[in-house]
Amino acid sequence: MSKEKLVEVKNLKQYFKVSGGQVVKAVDDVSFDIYKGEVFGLVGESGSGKSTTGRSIIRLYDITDGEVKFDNQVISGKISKELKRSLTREIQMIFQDPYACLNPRMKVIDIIAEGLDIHKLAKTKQERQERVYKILEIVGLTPDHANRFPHEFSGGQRQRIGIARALITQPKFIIADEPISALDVSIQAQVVNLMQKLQKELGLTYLFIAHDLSMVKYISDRVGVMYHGKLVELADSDDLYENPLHPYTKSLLSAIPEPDPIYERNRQRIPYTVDVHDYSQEQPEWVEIRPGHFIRANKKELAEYEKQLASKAK
Amino acid sequence: MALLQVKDLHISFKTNAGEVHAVRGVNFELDKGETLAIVGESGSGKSVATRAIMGILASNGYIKHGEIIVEGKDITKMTKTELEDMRGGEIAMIFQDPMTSLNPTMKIGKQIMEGIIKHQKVSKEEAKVKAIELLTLVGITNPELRFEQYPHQFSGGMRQRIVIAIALGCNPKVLIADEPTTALDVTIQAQILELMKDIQKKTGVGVIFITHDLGVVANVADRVAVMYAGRLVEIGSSNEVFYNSQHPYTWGLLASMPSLDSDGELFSIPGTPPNLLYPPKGDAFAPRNQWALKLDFEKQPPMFKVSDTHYAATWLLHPNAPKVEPPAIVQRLRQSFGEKGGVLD
Amino acid sequence: MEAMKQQYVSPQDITGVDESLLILTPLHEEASEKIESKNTSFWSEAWINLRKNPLAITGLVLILIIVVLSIVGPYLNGGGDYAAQDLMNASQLPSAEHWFGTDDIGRSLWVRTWYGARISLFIAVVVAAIELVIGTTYGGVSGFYGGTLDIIMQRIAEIISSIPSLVLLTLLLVVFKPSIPTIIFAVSFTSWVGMSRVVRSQILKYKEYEFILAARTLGASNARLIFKHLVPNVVGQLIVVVSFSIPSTIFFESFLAFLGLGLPAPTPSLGILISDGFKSMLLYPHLILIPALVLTILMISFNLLGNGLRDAFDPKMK
Repeated sequence: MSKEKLVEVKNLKQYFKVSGGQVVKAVDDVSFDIYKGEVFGLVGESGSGKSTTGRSIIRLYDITDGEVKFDNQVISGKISKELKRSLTREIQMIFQDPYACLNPRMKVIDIIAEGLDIHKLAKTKQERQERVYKILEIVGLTPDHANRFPHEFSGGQRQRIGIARALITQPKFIIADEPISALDVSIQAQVVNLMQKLQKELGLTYLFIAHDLSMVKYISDRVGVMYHGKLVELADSDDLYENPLHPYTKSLLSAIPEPDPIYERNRQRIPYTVDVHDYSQEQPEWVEIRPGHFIRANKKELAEYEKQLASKAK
Repeated sequence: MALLQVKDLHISFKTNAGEVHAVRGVNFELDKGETLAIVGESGSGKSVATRAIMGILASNGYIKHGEIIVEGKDITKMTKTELEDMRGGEIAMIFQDPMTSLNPTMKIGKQIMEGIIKHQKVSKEEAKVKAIELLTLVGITNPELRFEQYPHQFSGGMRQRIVIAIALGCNPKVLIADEPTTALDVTIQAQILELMKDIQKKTGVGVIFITHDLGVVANVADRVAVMYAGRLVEIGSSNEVFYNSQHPYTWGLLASMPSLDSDGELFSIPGTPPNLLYPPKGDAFAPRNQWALKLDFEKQPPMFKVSDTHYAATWLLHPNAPKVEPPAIVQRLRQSFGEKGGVLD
Repeated sequence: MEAMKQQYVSPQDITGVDESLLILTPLHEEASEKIESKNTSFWSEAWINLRKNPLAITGLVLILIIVVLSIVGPYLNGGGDYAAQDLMNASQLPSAEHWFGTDDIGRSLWVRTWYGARISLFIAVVVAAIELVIGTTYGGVSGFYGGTLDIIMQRIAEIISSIPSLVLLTLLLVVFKPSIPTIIFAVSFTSWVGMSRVVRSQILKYKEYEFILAARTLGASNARLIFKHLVPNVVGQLIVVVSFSIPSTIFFESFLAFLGLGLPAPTPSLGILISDGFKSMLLYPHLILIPALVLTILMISFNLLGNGLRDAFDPKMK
């Protein structure tokens, strides 16, 4: 994997006004980079801001503050029409709900070809059809699926149609927003394997957003953990799962159910509350504690984490 | 005597396209104080079967054949009023989405009291005392204060606790939990599962736990039933199903979950479940089964006995069937069980 | 337990199995992706649902019969001119010569009833079309763009819908003479608000759906979002609203006629005929009964059809 940055997110803030003049800080000062060809996992519970982060990057929301770069170009805020146009080809998204993500009134061929139609990428009807058939085959479906409507497909098949739609414009970067959490276990593996195969064959880069930590660990090269709009820890996925430092990461890892009754009977859950942090004296910062291992902590906590790492190293 | 017995249950739905055979001959039973997990993907019939037990099938669904016996009475033959008494009384249910199972305009205390008054036949004052006890039991702090609050003042996990309290208020003998933690975050899920186990210890209620998450099953279940395309394919104690599974579908389910140390390509079950408008002739899983025998396509395998408590419907258990190697994860689970000194009970 | 045991078989005890079939077979992945069901679109599905509803189909058939009669009826039974008087044959009961009888100045009630039905239907259909155009555009813009624009547009709609149509029509009559255009104008002036509300709520719902987000990430223009994605999903609802709007307009028109605010003589509408027939109800009951019956059948039929359409389009039915 090259260490070339594809996506750079700097101090991203996404606030939403809600009724009563209140402001919800869905994403609050989040920074991370995604390298070319890697899978970057983003985990956290509902309301942690992980999905909002993805949607802000792809410009579904106008960001409140901060900056997003793609291929060394600023893509947040006001940008040119041409850049916008090329971004809609180069960055694509896969969605969570296989039932809501396909227009029930459109045939599969028209759903998948939408990118071609919008960007006028197919010169003839023939070419359009051929490209759709080809992509259907890539995602494990057949040309006779093309003229059917979404409601005739199973959840896993629909999700693959969603993937086909995202792939047709030949994007470089795909944001997968909880792509498997609405699917059955046996189908999850199908979709994850497909995503991995595509990544290798087409050289894609993924932002994989999920709350299922075992799947995120499995598919991701690096993982960021979000809590209440903030990144609290970021590391290589093996490193994060072997040496979790932030108490929230530890709590999250301790709660993953494993398909092993004996392990489950002996599992100790680690509870987490924000009260474990004492930020009255000093505010936490986003610090690189080891090369590639970032954590949100203040100096006192950092010293504590250093100790933990040192004792583990022995 | 078992709390609940389901015998040869067949359920169909009438649709525009024809009859959908959602449940096609299911047998199981539930004992006092035990948790039976029913695992399967959407469309496997797991929710339909349990909704039939509650008597809340969708209007186009009907029980075609079979018996559901609760405390010696067959509920498929009950009248509407009898069913209503039983629902909530003998059997209570908790659903996936706690928000839609609560009345948003009613104080939660009152919602818990309603069931207590109806099914335990006690006065208002007594019901209030019991309701507050229940709130304490499900782990809600300051129950007297919380008693006066509305559902929107609670978080998702807290709401699911209240739903559990309401269900328990009816003093049920059987509690059906339909994916009760699927909508919750992992950390909250772990808390709710702990709570349910704790309550079961205290009250001895029999629980049917429907889920598609094998991790959750490993955590809560005493026995596990695996459903596919409207039929049970394997049933046994939790140890038997996890450490000595026999049906290739169970293998597929176990192997397609990544464990924290899995690498390489995930095992995946190809294809899609069958359309139950056109139920297949043999084993419904055969077209997706890499260990399928020719016979699987021809003839429905019977429930072969593996042990007194463990049964599986696959022709692979025929004495003259070829021996096959299950996926690596399944073999590893078998091994690890021996290493941990486990004995299949 | 005993009953269940019978279902179970010990591997040793199994008999009657063709053991030559106990061989592994290779996996055909494509086979398991096959979809067996017939390819159905939303419209054919809705039509199948509707066909299964006998009440709705009865309504539909009756509406079609009335529509056909209102087109060809006036030219049958020696008619053609709804104003032609035949004083010699005034106030006749139904007969072979005048199928529905004649009124007090000898006009054929058959001709006048179907011509009246034609006018009532015409007014209702035009009003529905106006509602559809204005309501959809207004509700669509308001829901799609949202924000401050939505708030302003909704306040305006509230003000308009709070004007009573009857007061408005009375005022209009002071300025203009009652005519088909004035009645259409008065009724549709406020009634489009209902349609716009339905459209707005539907748009607000679908706007957040992931398929809309997906189209936006693909760079779809607003026009594409509205016409390719939102409108096709809202059309079912619109048809239902229209099928309820038509009978309510017909009823409102009759109501106006009864109050003396209807079309001027000699133009008939169902309301005018009922109102005229009412004057001689005791002597010649057929003069009120026949148009009233047509009106009633029309109203009931539209309501049955509307209910049937609502069920047929309801995705929950699937």
